[in-house]
Amino acid sequence: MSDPATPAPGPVPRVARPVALAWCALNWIVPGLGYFAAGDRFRGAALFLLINGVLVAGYALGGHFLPPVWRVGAPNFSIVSCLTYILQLFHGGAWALSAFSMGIVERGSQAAAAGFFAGRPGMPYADLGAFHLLAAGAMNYLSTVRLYDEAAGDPSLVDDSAEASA
Amino acid sequence: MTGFLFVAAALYLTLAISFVLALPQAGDRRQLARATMVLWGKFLAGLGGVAAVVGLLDLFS
Repeated sequence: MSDPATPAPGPVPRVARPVALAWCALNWIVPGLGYFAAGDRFRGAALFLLINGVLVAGYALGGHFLPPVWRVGAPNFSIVSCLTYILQLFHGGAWALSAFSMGIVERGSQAAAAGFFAGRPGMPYADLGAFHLLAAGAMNYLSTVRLYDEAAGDPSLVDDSAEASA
Repeated sequence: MTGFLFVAAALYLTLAISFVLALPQAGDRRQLARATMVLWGKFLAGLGGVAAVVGLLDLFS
């Protein structure tokens, strides 16, 4: 049981907005890195391991970043594909790595690492893998927004005194 | 091998989601670890329940 009368202070200090935005940018590219830069090393390391672990599991299942058709009138337009891609973008580093890998695979590269990060849509659980990439992006969005609230936004949104196991 | 990966990925995904959902509620490490484990337990209980129902339906169909 936590004691609401003596809330533990958050290890992330209050800073000017540009600094907080820089931490959020770091956290967007590599999950956990923003928390690490802000001094909250435990959360940074845990987020890095958990979110990037989900990402690696997604790649191992054959997951891929599939750029959707954005034109609403197109016959193969799908709002679900568009929203999936937008959420996947919140893991910025993985998106850049995948885009780069897809580019060199298209140019004929046979490198195993390039194939791994480009994704393998033919694998039996490739759709589940893509869902893992989506979940990693969505979780990184939540962790990044929390970092901003703690460092420069509304601190009441990060309520350290709340009962954790409610 | 793929089946093992499937189960491991599902367990890991639920653990990671539990941690991120527990993030805003917990101030210190102990609170965070406890809230994460409570949420993960609920996740696994839910998944176990679904698996049990599916298994029973499979058994009696």
